[in-house]
Amino acid sequence: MQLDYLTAIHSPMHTWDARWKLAFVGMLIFVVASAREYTNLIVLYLFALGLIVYSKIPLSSYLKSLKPLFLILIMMIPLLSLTSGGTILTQWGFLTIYKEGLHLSGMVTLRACTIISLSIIIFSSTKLPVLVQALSYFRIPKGLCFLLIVTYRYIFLYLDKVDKLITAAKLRGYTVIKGIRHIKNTTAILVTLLVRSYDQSERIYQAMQLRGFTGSFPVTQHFKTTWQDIAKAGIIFACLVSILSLEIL
Amino acid sequence: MFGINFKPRDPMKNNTSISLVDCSFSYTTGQRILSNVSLDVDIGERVALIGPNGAGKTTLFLLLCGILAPTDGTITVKDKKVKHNQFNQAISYLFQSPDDQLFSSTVIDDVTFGPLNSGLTQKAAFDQAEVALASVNCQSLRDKPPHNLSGGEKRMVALATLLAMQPEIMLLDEPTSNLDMKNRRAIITLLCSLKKTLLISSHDLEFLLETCSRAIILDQGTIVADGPIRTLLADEDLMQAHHMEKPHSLFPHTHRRSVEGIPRDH
Ligand SMILES: Nc1ncnc2c1ncn2[C@@H]1O[C@H](COP(=O)(O)OP(=O)(O)OP(=O)(O)O)[C@@H](O)[C@H]1O
Ligand SMILES: [Mg+2]
Repeated sequence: MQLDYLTAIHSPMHTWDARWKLAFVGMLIFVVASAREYTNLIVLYLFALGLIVYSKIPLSSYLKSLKPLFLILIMMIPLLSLTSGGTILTQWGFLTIYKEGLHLSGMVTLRACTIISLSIIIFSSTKLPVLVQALSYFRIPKGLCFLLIVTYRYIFLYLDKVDKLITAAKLRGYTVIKGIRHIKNTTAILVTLLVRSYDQSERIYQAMQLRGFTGSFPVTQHFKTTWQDIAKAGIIFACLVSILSLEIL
Repeated sequence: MFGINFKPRDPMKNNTSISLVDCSFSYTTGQRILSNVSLDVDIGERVALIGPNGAGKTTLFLLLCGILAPTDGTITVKDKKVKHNQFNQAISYLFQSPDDQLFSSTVIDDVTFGPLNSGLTQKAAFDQAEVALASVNCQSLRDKPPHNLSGGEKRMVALATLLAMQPEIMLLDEPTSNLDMKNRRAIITLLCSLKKTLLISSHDLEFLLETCSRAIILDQGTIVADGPIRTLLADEDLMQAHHMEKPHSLFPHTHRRSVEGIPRDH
Protein backbone atom coordinates (compact mmCIF):
# COMPACT_ATOMS: atom_id res chain seq x y z
CA MET A 1 0.00 0.00 0.00
CA GLN A 2 1.37 3.33 -0.98
CA LEU A 3 -0.54 6.48 -0.47
CA ASP A 4 0.98 8.66 -3.11
CA TYR A 5 -1.50 7.55 -5.73
CA LEU A 6 -4.07 9.56 -3.79
CA THR A 7 -2.04 12.71 -4.39
CA ALA A 8 -3.81 13.09 -7.73
CA ILE A 9 -7.08 13.98 -5.97
CA HIS A 10 -8.16 17.63 -5.98
CA SER A 11 -9.14 18.87 -2.57
CA PRO A 12 -8.46 21.91 -0.39
CA MET A 13 -6.07 19.72 1.58
CA HIS A 14 -4.13 18.85 -1.55
CA THR A 15 -3.74 22.47 -2.57
CA TRP A 16 -2.67 23.56 0.87
CA ASP A 17 0.93 24.87 0.90
CA ALA A 18 2.99 21.85 1.98
CA ARG A 19 4.97 23.86 4.51
CA TRP A 20 1.88 25.00 6.41
CA LYS A 21 0.34 21.57 6.15
CA LEU A 22 3.41 19.87 7.51
CA ALA A 23 3.82 22.31 10.37
CA PHE A 24 0.22 22.32 11.56
CA VAL A 25 -0.75 18.71 10.99
CA GLY A 26 2.61 17.85 12.56
CA MET A 27 1.72 19.85 15.66
CA LEU A 28 -1.62 18.10 15.77
CA ILE A 29 0.14 14.72 15.77
CA PHE A 30 2.26 15.92 18.63
CA VAL A 31 -0.81 16.92 20.62
CA VAL A 32 -2.43 13.52 19.95
CA ALA A 33 0.69 11.76 21.15
CA SER A 34 0.69 13.71 24.39
CA ALA A 35 -3.09 13.83 25.11
CA ARG A 36 -4.06 12.04 28.34
CA GLU A 37 -7.86 12.42 28.37
CA TYR A 38 -10.22 9.98 26.71
CA THR A 39 -12.67 12.65 25.61
CA ASN A 40 -9.90 14.74 24.10
CA LEU A 41 -8.61 11.76 22.16
CA ILE A 42 -12.10 11.09 20.86
CA VAL A 43 -12.50 14.72 19.81
CA LEU A 44 -9.11 14.62 18.10
CA TYR A 45 -10.03 11.43 16.27
CA LEU A 46 -13.30 12.94 15.07
CA PHE A 47 -11.39 16.01 13.93
CA ALA A 48 -8.94 13.79 12.04
CA LEU A 49 -11.90 12.03 10.41
CA GLY A 50 -13.23 15.44 9.43
CA LEU A 51 -9.91 16.23 7.80
CA ILE A 52 -10.04 12.91 5.93
CA VAL A 53 -13.41 13.92 4.49
CA TYR A 54 -12.04 17.39 3.73
CA SER A 55 -9.15 15.74 1.83
CA LYS A 56 -11.67 13.77 -0.26
CA ILE A 57 -9.83 10.54 0.51
CA PRO A 58 -12.21 7.73 -0.44
CA LEU A 59 -13.48 5.83 2.57
CA SER A 60 -12.34 2.53 1.07
CA SER A 61 -8.74 3.72 0.66
CA TYR A 62 -8.80 5.09 4.18
CA LEU A 63 -10.03 1.83 5.67
CA LYS A 64 -7.59 -0.13 3.57
CA SER A 65 -4.73 1.95 4.92
CA LEU A 66 -5.93 1.40 8.46
CA LYS A 67 -6.49 -2.34 8.11
CA PRO A 68 -2.93 -3.48 8.84
CA LEU A 69 -2.91 -1.26 11.91
CA PHE A 70 -6.06 -2.98 13.14
CA LEU A 71 -4.40 -6.32 12.67
CA ILE A 72 -1.45 -5.28 14.78
CA LEU A 73 -3.74 -3.78 17.42
CA ILE A 74 -5.82 -6.94 17.55
CA MET A 75 -2.67 -8.84 18.41
CA MET A 76 -1.60 -6.31 21.00
CA ILE A 77 -4.81 -5.50 22.83
CA PRO A 78 -5.36 -8.92 24.40
CA LEU A 79 -1.80 -8.82 25.66
CA LEU A 80 -2.31 -5.40 27.18
CA SER A 81 -5.68 -6.07 28.76
CA LEU A 82 -4.61 -9.44 30.09
CA THR A 83 -1.33 -8.48 31.57
CA SER A 84 -1.34 -4.97 32.96
CA GLY A 85 -3.17 -3.51 35.94
CA GLY A 86 -4.54 -4.54 39.32
CA THR A 87 -8.32 -4.07 39.23
CA ILE A 88 -9.91 -7.28 38.03
CA LEU A 89 -12.83 -6.70 35.67
CA THR A 90 -13.84 -10.24 34.76
CA GLN A 91 -12.27 -13.61 35.01
CA TRP A 92 -12.84 -16.69 32.89
CA GLY A 93 -10.72 -19.61 33.96
CA PHE A 94 -7.14 -18.53 33.64
CA LEU A 95 -8.08 -15.39 31.68
CA THR A 96 -8.20 -12.23 33.74
CA ILE A 97 -9.14 -8.89 32.26
CA TYR A 98 -7.87 -5.91 34.16
CA LYS A 99 -9.52 -2.54 34.13
CA GLU A 100 -6.24 -0.68 33.72
CA GLY A 101 -5.26 -2.94 30.87
CA LEU A 102 -8.53 -2.32 29.06
CA HIS A 103 -8.22 1.42 29.62
CA LEU A 104 -4.68 1.39 28.29
CA SER A 105 -5.66 -0.60 25.20
CA GLY A 106 -8.43 1.89 24.46
CA MET A 107 -6.00 4.80 24.71
CA VAL A 108 -3.42 3.06 22.54
CA THR A 109 -6.01 2.22 19.89
CA LEU A 110 -7.44 5.71 19.75
CA ARG A 111 -4.05 7.36 19.70
CA ALA A 112 -2.67 5.02 17.04
CA CYS A 113 -5.73 5.43 14.81
CA THR A 114 -5.63 9.21 15.08
CA ILE A 115 -1.90 9.47 14.41
CA ILE A 116 -2.11 7.11 11.46
CA SER A 117 -5.13 8.99 10.08
CA LEU A 118 -3.27 12.28 10.29
CA SER A 119 -0.21 10.74 8.64
CA ILE A 120 -2.43 9.32 5.94
CA ILE A 121 -3.70 12.85 5.32
CA ILE A 122 -0.20 14.26 4.96
CA PHE A 123 1.11 11.49 2.74
CA SER A 124 -1.93 11.16 0.53
CA SER A 125 -2.20 14.86 -0.16
CA THR A 126 1.47 15.67 -0.74
CA LYS A 127 3.89 14.09 -3.17
CA LEU A 128 7.05 12.87 -1.53
CA PRO A 129 9.42 15.24 -3.37
CA VAL A 130 7.28 18.21 -2.35
CA LEU A 131 7.22 16.98 1.22
CA VAL A 132 10.97 16.70 1.33
CA GLN A 133 11.26 20.15 -0.18
CA ALA A 134 8.97 21.50 2.53
CA LEU A 135 11.08 19.76 5.16
CA SER A 136 14.24 21.32 3.90
CA TYR A 137 12.44 24.65 4.10
CA PHE A 138 12.33 24.15 7.86
CA ARG A 139 16.10 23.72 7.73
CA ILE A 140 15.78 20.07 8.57
CA PRO A 141 19.23 18.66 7.85
CA LYS A 142 19.64 16.47 4.77
CA GLY A 143 20.50 13.47 6.90
CA LEU A 144 17.22 13.71 8.75
CA CYS A 145 15.29 14.08 5.49
CA PHE A 146 16.97 10.84 4.36
CA LEU A 147 15.86 9.19 7.51
CA LEU A 148 12.30 10.40 7.11
CA ILE A 149 12.06 9.15 3.54
CA VAL A 150 13.40 5.77 4.52
CA THR A 151 11.11 5.57 7.55
CA TYR A 152 8.11 6.56 5.47
CA ARG A 153 8.84 3.85 2.92
CA TYR A 154 9.58 1.49 5.73
CA ILE A 155 6.36 1.92 7.66
CA PHE A 156 4.18 1.49 4.62
CA LEU A 157 6.15 -1.45 3.32
CA TYR A 158 5.78 -3.03 6.71
CA LEU A 159 2.04 -2.52 6.92
CA ASP A 160 1.69 -3.76 3.38
CA LYS A 161 3.68 -6.90 4.15
CA VAL A 162 1.62 -7.61 7.26
CA ASP A 163 -1.51 -7.30 5.16
CA LYS A 164 -0.22 -9.61 2.44
CA LEU A 165 1.03 -12.12 4.93
CA ILE A 166 -2.29 -12.32 6.72
CA THR A 167 -4.06 -12.83 3.41
CA ALA A 168 -1.64 -15.59 2.47
CA ALA A 169 -2.03 -17.15 5.89
CA LYS A 170 -5.83 -17.00 5.64
CA LEU A 171 -5.64 -18.96 2.41
CA ARG A 172 -3.92 -21.62 4.46
CA GLY A 173 -6.62 -21.72 7.10
CA TYR A 174 -5.38 -19.08 9.51
CA THR A 175 -7.86 -17.14 11.62
CA VAL A 176 -7.27 -14.22 13.94
CA ILE A 177 -8.42 -16.36 16.88
CA LYS A 178 -5.79 -18.97 16.09
CA GLY A 179 -3.27 -16.18 15.68
CA ILE A 180 -4.01 -14.96 19.19
CA ARG A 181 -3.81 -18.46 20.57
CA HIS A 182 -0.41 -18.96 19.00
CA ILE A 183 0.71 -15.50 19.96
CA LYS A 184 4.37 -16.52 20.07
CA ASN A 185 4.40 -17.58 16.41
CA THR A 186 2.45 -14.53 15.37
CA THR A 187 4.87 -12.23 17.18
CA ALA A 188 7.82 -14.00 15.57
CA ILE A 189 6.28 -13.41 12.14
CA LEU A 190 5.63 -9.73 12.86
CA VAL A 191 9.25 -9.30 13.94
CA THR A 192 10.59 -11.12 10.89
CA LEU A 193 8.55 -8.80 8.72
CA LEU A 194 9.99 -5.79 10.53
CA VAL A 195 13.47 -6.88 9.53
CA ARG A 196 12.45 -7.82 6.02
CA SER A 197 10.77 -4.54 5.24
CA TYR A 198 13.74 -2.71 6.69
CA ASP A 199 15.92 -4.55 4.17
CA GLN A 200 13.60 -3.63 1.34
CA SER A 201 13.40 0.03 2.27
CA GLU A 202 17.18 0.03 2.35
CA ARG A 203 17.33 -1.47 -1.13
CA ILE A 204 14.89 1.12 -2.44
CA TYR A 205 17.06 3.80 -0.97
CA GLN A 206 20.16 2.29 -2.57
CA ALA A 207 18.37 2.16 -5.91
CA MET A 208 17.57 5.86 -5.53
CA GLN A 209 21.20 6.66 -4.78
CA LEU A 210 22.31 4.69 -7.81
CA ARG A 211 20.20 7.06 -9.84
CA GLY A 212 22.05 10.04 -8.45
CA PHE A 213 19.91 10.88 -5.43
CA THR A 214 21.84 12.78 -2.80
CA GLY A 215 19.11 13.67 -0.36
CA SER A 216 17.25 16.49 -2.02
CA PHE A 217 14.81 16.15 -4.83
CA PRO A 218 15.31 18.46 -7.78
CA VAL A 219 13.20 21.55 -7.15
CA THR A 220 10.06 21.26 -9.23
CA GLN A 221 7.71 23.42 -7.27
CA HIS A 222 7.95 26.87 -5.77
CA PHE A 223 5.97 27.51 -2.65
CA LYS A 224 3.74 30.55 -2.37
CA THR A 225 1.58 31.26 0.64
CA THR A 226 -1.94 32.55 0.02
CA TRP A 227 -4.55 33.73 2.51
CA GLN A 228 -6.31 30.36 2.09
CA ASP A 229 -3.19 28.62 3.36
CA ILE A 230 -3.23 30.77 6.48
CA ALA A 231 -6.97 30.25 7.00
CA LYS A 232 -6.55 26.47 6.90
CA ALA A 233 -3.72 26.73 9.41
CA GLY A 234 -6.02 28.84 11.57
CA ILE A 235 -8.65 26.09 11.74
CA ILE A 236 -6.11 23.51 12.87
CA PHE A 237 -4.63 25.98 15.31
CA ALA A 238 -8.04 26.59 16.90
CA CYS A 239 -8.45 22.85 17.43
CA LEU A 240 -4.95 22.59 18.85
CA VAL A 241 -5.45 25.38 21.34
CA SER A 242 -8.83 24.14 22.55
CA ILE A 243 -7.57 20.60 23.15
CA LEU A 244 -4.45 21.84 24.86
CA SER A 245 -6.42 24.08 27.18
CA LEU A 246 -8.80 21.21 28.00
CA GLU A 247 -5.81 19.01 28.80
CA ILE A 248 -4.26 21.56 31.09
CA LEU A 249 -7.43 22.66 32.89
CA MET B 1 38.42 -25.23 -13.54
CA PHE B 2 37.38 -26.39 -16.96
CA GLY B 3 39.86 -25.77 -19.72
CA ILE B 4 38.36 -22.49 -20.72
CA ASN B 5 40.27 -19.49 -19.59
CA PHE B 6 40.42 -15.75 -19.82
CA LYS B 7 41.18 -14.66 -23.31
CA PRO B 8 44.61 -13.11 -23.79
CA ARG B 9 44.58 -9.34 -23.45
CA ASP B 10 46.67 -6.67 -25.03
CA PRO B 11 48.15 -4.75 -22.09
CA MET B 12 48.79 -1.70 -24.25
CA LYS B 13 45.17 -1.26 -25.19
CA ASN B 14 43.02 -0.08 -22.37
CA ASN B 15 39.46 -0.73 -23.19
CA THR B 16 38.53 -2.39 -19.93
CA SER B 17 35.17 -1.36 -18.56
CA ILE B 18 34.93 -3.47 -15.42
CA SER B 19 37.77 -5.14 -13.64
CA LEU B 20 37.79 -7.25 -10.48
CA VAL B 21 41.00 -8.47 -8.96
CA ASP B 22 40.89 -11.26 -6.37
CA CYS B 23 37.64 -10.13 -4.85
CA SER B 24 36.15 -11.96 -1.91
CA PHE B 25 33.06 -11.21 0.04
CA SER B 26 31.16 -12.44 3.08
CA TYR B 27 27.97 -11.09 4.58
CA THR B 28 27.95 -10.41 8.31
CA THR B 29 26.89 -14.03 8.83
CA GLY B 30 30.53 -14.89 8.09
CA GLN B 31 30.01 -17.42 5.36
CA ARG B 32 32.09 -16.76 2.24
CA ILE B 33 29.82 -15.89 -0.64
CA LEU B 34 32.45 -14.93 -3.21
CA SER B 35 36.04 -16.11 -3.14
CA ASN B 36 38.88 -14.76 -5.22
CA VAL B 37 36.83 -13.60 -8.14
CA SER B 38 38.89 -12.02 -10.91
CA LEU B 39 37.26 -10.74 -14.02
CA ASP B 40 37.68 -8.23 -16.83
CA VAL B 41 34.95 -6.95 -19.07
CA ASP B 42 35.70 -4.85 -22.13
CA ILE B 43 33.86 -1.74 -23.18
CA GLY B 44 30.82 -2.67 -25.24
CA GLU B 45 31.02 -6.35 -24.34
CA ARG B 46 27.83 -8.24 -23.46
CA VAL B 47 28.52 -10.85 -20.84
CA ALA B 48 26.18 -13.45 -19.36
CA LEU B 49 26.58 -14.30 -15.71
CA ILE B 50 25.09 -17.70 -15.02
CA GLY B 51 25.05 -20.14 -12.15
CA PRO B 52 22.64 -21.93 -9.84
CA ASN B 53 20.50 -20.21 -7.19
CA GLY B 54 22.63 -18.83 -4.43
CA ALA B 55 25.82 -18.86 -6.51
CA GLY B 56 26.51 -15.21 -5.71
CA LYS B 57 25.43 -13.45 -8.89
CA THR B 58 23.34 -10.77 -7.22
CA THR B 59 26.05 -10.29 -4.60
CA LEU B 60 28.60 -9.72 -7.37
CA PHE B 61 26.37 -7.04 -8.91
CA LEU B 62 25.95 -5.30 -5.58
CA LEU B 63 29.74 -5.21 -5.22
CA LEU B 64 30.19 -3.79 -8.71
CA CYS B 65 27.88 -0.86 -8.13
CA GLY B 66 29.27 -0.05 -4.69
CA ILE B 67 26.29 -1.09 -2.56
CA LEU B 68 28.48 -3.71 -0.89
CA ALA B 69 32.23 -3.51 -0.33
CA PRO B 70 34.49 -6.50 -0.98
CA THR B 71 36.18 -7.99 2.08
CA ASP B 72 39.29 -8.49 -0.07
CA GLY B 73 40.42 -7.37 -3.49
CA THR B 74 39.72 -4.36 -5.65
CA ILE B 75 37.07 -3.45 -8.16
CA THR B 76 37.57 -0.82 -10.82
CA VAL B 77 34.92 0.53 -13.13
CA LYS B 78 36.10 2.77 -15.98
CA ASP B 79 39.55 3.01 -14.38
CA LYS B 80 38.11 4.32 -11.14
CA LYS B 81 38.21 2.29 -7.97
CA VAL B 82 34.69 1.49 -6.73
CA LYS B 83 34.18 2.82 -3.24
CA HIS B 84 31.55 1.63 -0.83
CA ASN B 85 28.37 3.72 -1.02
CA GLN B 86 29.80 6.11 -3.57
CA PHE B 87 27.78 5.72 -6.66
CA ASN B 88 29.11 6.14 -10.13
CA GLN B 89 26.65 7.51 -12.68
CA ALA B 90 28.33 5.50 -15.43
CA ILE B 91 27.03 2.27 -13.96
CA SER B 92 23.45 1.32 -13.33
CA TYR B 93 21.85 -1.73 -11.82
CA LEU B 94 18.52 -3.40 -12.48
CA PHE B 95 17.50 -4.93 -9.17
CA GLN B 96 16.36 -8.54 -9.11
CA SER B 97 12.99 -7.35 -7.80
CA PRO B 98 11.44 -4.27 -9.46
CA ASP B 99 9.65 -3.50 -6.20
CA ASP B 100 13.03 -2.46 -4.85
CA GLN B 101 13.44 0.02 -7.64
CA LEU B 102 10.19 1.86 -8.28
CA PHE B 103 9.00 4.29 -5.66
CA SER B 104 7.28 7.29 -7.22
CA SER B 105 3.59 7.94 -7.53
CA THR B 106 3.59 7.75 -11.32
CA VAL B 107 5.71 5.93 -13.85
CA ILE B 108 6.87 9.13 -15.51
CA ASP B 109 7.97 10.60 -12.17
CA ASP B 110 10.05 7.52 -11.59
CA VAL B 111 11.69 7.59 -14.99
CA THR B 112 12.52 11.32 -14.78
CA PHE B 113 13.93 10.91 -11.27
CA GLY B 114 17.43 9.94 -12.43
CA PRO B 115 17.82 12.52 -15.21
CA LEU B 116 16.59 15.30 -12.87
CA ASN B 117 19.15 14.23 -10.28
CA SER B 118 21.89 14.45 -12.85
CA GLY B 119 21.06 18.11 -13.28
CA LEU B 120 19.04 18.16 -16.48
CA THR B 121 16.34 20.76 -16.91
CA GLN B 122 12.77 19.67 -16.41
CA LYS B 123 12.16 19.58 -20.14
CA ALA B 124 15.32 17.71 -21.05
CA ALA B 125 14.66 15.19 -18.28
CA PHE B 126 11.13 14.59 -19.50
CA ASP B 127 12.31 14.20 -23.09
CA GLN B 128 14.90 11.67 -22.03
CA ALA B 129 12.30 9.81 -19.96
CA GLU B 130 9.81 9.68 -22.82
CA VAL B 131 12.47 8.23 -25.12
CA ALA B 132 13.35 5.61 -22.51
CA LEU B 133 9.70 4.68 -22.01
CA ALA B 134 9.18 4.43 -25.75
CA SER B 135 12.17 2.14 -26.13
CA VAL B 136 10.51 -0.40 -23.82
CA ASN B 137 7.04 0.19 -25.35
CA CYS B 138 5.61 1.54 -22.11
CA GLN B 139 4.36 4.98 -23.13
CA SER B 140 0.83 3.90 -22.26
CA LEU B 141 1.84 3.33 -18.63
CA ARG B 142 3.19 6.86 -18.33
CA ASP B 143 0.74 8.18 -15.75
CA LYS B 144 0.00 4.99 -13.85
CA PRO B 145 1.17 4.33 -10.30
CA PRO B 146 4.07 1.83 -10.51
CA HIS B 147 2.88 -0.32 -7.61
CA ASN B 148 -0.31 -1.19 -9.49
CA LEU B 149 1.50 -2.50 -12.57
CA SER B 150 1.76 -6.14 -13.46
CA GLY B 151 5.00 -7.98 -12.72
CA GLY B 152 6.19 -7.74 -16.31
CA GLU B 153 5.20 -4.09 -16.68
CA LYS B 154 7.15 -3.24 -13.53
CA ARG B 155 10.21 -4.95 -15.05
CA MET B 156 9.95 -2.94 -18.26
CA VAL B 157 9.46 0.34 -16.39
CA ALA B 158 12.38 -0.44 -14.08
CA LEU B 159 14.49 -0.99 -17.19
CA ALA B 160 13.30 2.36 -18.55
CA THR B 161 14.44 4.11 -15.37
CA LEU B 162 17.95 2.81 -16.08
CA LEU B 163 17.89 3.67 -19.77
CA ALA B 164 16.84 7.24 -18.97
CA MET B 165 20.08 7.66 -17.04
CA GLN B 166 22.03 6.81 -20.23
CA PRO B 167 24.61 4.78 -18.32
CA GLU B 168 27.68 3.32 -20.02
CA ILE B 169 27.47 0.07 -18.09
CA MET B 170 24.31 -1.78 -17.17
CA LEU B 171 24.11 -4.64 -14.70
CA LEU B 172 20.88 -6.52 -15.29
CA ASP B 173 19.69 -9.00 -12.69
CA GLU B 174 17.17 -11.40 -14.26
CA PRO B 175 15.78 -8.88 -16.77
CA THR B 176 13.39 -11.38 -18.38
CA SER B 177 11.69 -12.74 -15.28
CA ASN B 178 7.90 -12.27 -15.50
CA LEU B 179 8.04 -11.14 -19.11
CA ASP B 180 5.72 -12.47 -21.78
CA MET B 181 7.07 -13.53 -25.17
CA LYS B 182 6.51 -10.14 -26.77
CA ASN B 183 8.29 -8.16 -24.08
CA ARG B 184 11.04 -10.73 -23.81
CA ARG B 185 11.63 -10.35 -27.54
CA ALA B 186 11.51 -6.56 -27.23
CA ILE B 187 14.20 -6.67 -24.55
CA ILE B 188 16.41 -8.92 -26.68
CA THR B 189 16.14 -6.55 -29.62
CA LEU B 190 16.72 -3.55 -27.39
CA LEU B 191 19.76 -4.98 -25.61
CA CYS B 192 21.35 -6.09 -28.89
CA SER B 193 20.98 -2.59 -30.29
CA LEU B 194 22.52 -0.83 -27.27
CA LYS B 195 26.14 0.20 -27.53
CA LYS B 196 26.80 -0.38 -23.84
CA THR B 197 28.71 -2.72 -21.64
CA LEU B 198 26.21 -5.23 -20.31
CA LEU B 199 26.54 -7.81 -17.59
CA ILE B 200 23.40 -9.91 -17.45
CA SER B 201 22.47 -12.51 -14.89
CA SER B 202 19.63 -14.82 -15.83
CA HIS B 203 18.35 -18.37 -15.70
CA ASP B 204 16.84 -17.90 -19.16
CA LEU B 205 19.73 -19.37 -21.13
CA GLU B 206 18.08 -19.03 -24.52
CA PHE B 207 17.72 -15.32 -23.88
CA LEU B 208 21.39 -15.07 -22.95
CA LEU B 209 22.42 -16.98 -26.08
CA GLU B 210 20.68 -14.35 -28.17
CA THR B 211 22.07 -11.32 -26.36
CA CYS B 212 25.55 -12.17 -25.11
CA SER B 213 28.75 -13.27 -26.74
CA ARG B 214 30.56 -14.33 -23.61
CA ALA B 215 29.49 -16.25 -20.53
CA ILE B 216 30.83 -16.58 -17.03
CA ILE B 217 29.73 -19.48 -14.85
CA LEU B 218 29.68 -18.74 -11.17
CA ASP B 219 29.16 -21.54 -8.67
CA GLN B 220 29.51 -21.39 -4.92
CA GLY B 221 31.18 -18.03 -5.16
CA THR B 222 33.92 -18.85 -7.64
CA ILE B 223 34.20 -18.41 -11.38
CA VAL B 224 34.36 -21.93 -12.76
CA ALA B 225 34.35 -21.09 -16.45
CA ASP B 226 34.67 -18.05 -18.66
CA GLY B 227 34.51 -18.09 -22.43
CA PRO B 228 32.40 -17.79 -25.59
CA ILE B 229 28.80 -18.39 -24.62
CA ARG B 230 28.03 -21.00 -27.30
CA THR B 231 31.04 -23.09 -26.33
CA LEU B 232 30.31 -23.00 -22.63
CA LEU B 233 26.59 -23.67 -22.77
CA ALA B 234 27.07 -26.48 -25.29
CA ASP B 235 29.38 -28.33 -22.90
CA GLU B 236 26.96 -30.79 -21.36
CA ASP B 237 29.34 -32.05 -18.68
CA LEU B 238 30.23 -28.58 -17.57
CA MET B 239 26.59 -27.50 -17.43
CA GLN B 240 25.53 -30.56 -15.49
CA ALA B 241 28.38 -30.24 -13.02
CA HIS B 242 26.93 -26.86 -12.08
CA HIS B 243 23.27 -27.87 -11.94
CA MET B 244 22.28 -26.43 -15.30
CA GLU B 245 21.06 -27.89 -18.55
CA LYS B 246 22.38 -27.40 -22.03
CA PRO B 247 19.81 -25.18 -23.81
CA HIS B 248 17.61 -26.90 -26.39
CA SER B 249 18.63 -24.65 -29.23
CA LEU B 250 22.17 -25.99 -28.96
CA PHE B 251 21.06 -29.56 -29.70
CA PRO B 252 20.96 -30.37 -33.40
CA HIS B 253 17.48 -31.01 -34.91
CA THR B 254 15.50 -30.14 -31.80
CA HIS B 255 13.97 -27.27 -33.67
CA ARG B 256 12.10 -29.50 -36.14
CA ARG B 257 11.11 -31.96 -33.42
CA SER B 258 9.64 -29.29 -31.25
CA VAL B 259 7.71 -27.77 -34.14
CA GLU B 260 6.05 -30.98 -35.16
CA GLY B 261 5.76 -32.24 -31.62
CA ILE B 262 5.76 -35.93 -32.59
CA PRO B 263 8.80 -38.17 -32.94
CA ARG B 264 9.29 -39.02 -36.61
CA ASP B 265 9.97 -42.73 -36.68
CA HIS B 266 8.31 -43.85 -39.90
N1 LIG C 1 21.91 -10.08 3.07
C1 LIG C 1 22.41 -11.32 3.15
N2 LIG C 1 22.90 -11.80 4.31
C2 LIG C 1 23.41 -13.04 4.39
N3 LIG C 1 23.50 -13.89 3.35
C3 LIG C 1 23.05 -13.50 2.16
C4 LIG C 1 22.47 -12.19 2.00
N4 LIG C 1 22.09 -12.06 0.71
C5 LIG C 1 22.40 -13.22 0.11
N5 LIG C 1 22.97 -14.08 0.97
C6 LIG C 1 23.48 -15.43 0.65
O1 LIG C 1 24.49 -15.30 -0.32
C7 LIG C 1 24.41 -16.34 -1.27
C8 LIG C 1 24.43 -15.76 -2.67
O2 LIG C 1 23.25 -15.00 -2.85
P1 LIG C 1 22.93 -14.24 -4.21
O3 LIG C 1 21.69 -13.48 -4.01
O4 LIG C 1 24.14 -13.49 -4.64
O5 LIG C 1 22.68 -15.48 -5.18
P2 LIG C 1 22.27 -15.48 -6.72
O6 LIG C 1 23.38 -16.12 -7.46
O7 LIG C 1 21.89 -14.12 -7.15
O8 LIG C 1 21.02 -16.46 -6.71
P3 LIG C 1 19.64 -16.42 -7.57
O9 LIG C 1 19.93 -17.07 -8.87
O10 LIG C 1 18.72 -17.22 -6.76
O11 LIG C 1 19.22 -14.99 -7.69
C9 LIG C 1 23.17 -17.15 -0.94
O12 LIG C 1 23.57 -18.34 -0.34
C10 LIG C 1 22.41 -16.30 0.03
O13 LIG C 1 21.81 -17.12 1.01
MG1 LIG D 1 20.15 -13.22 -7.71
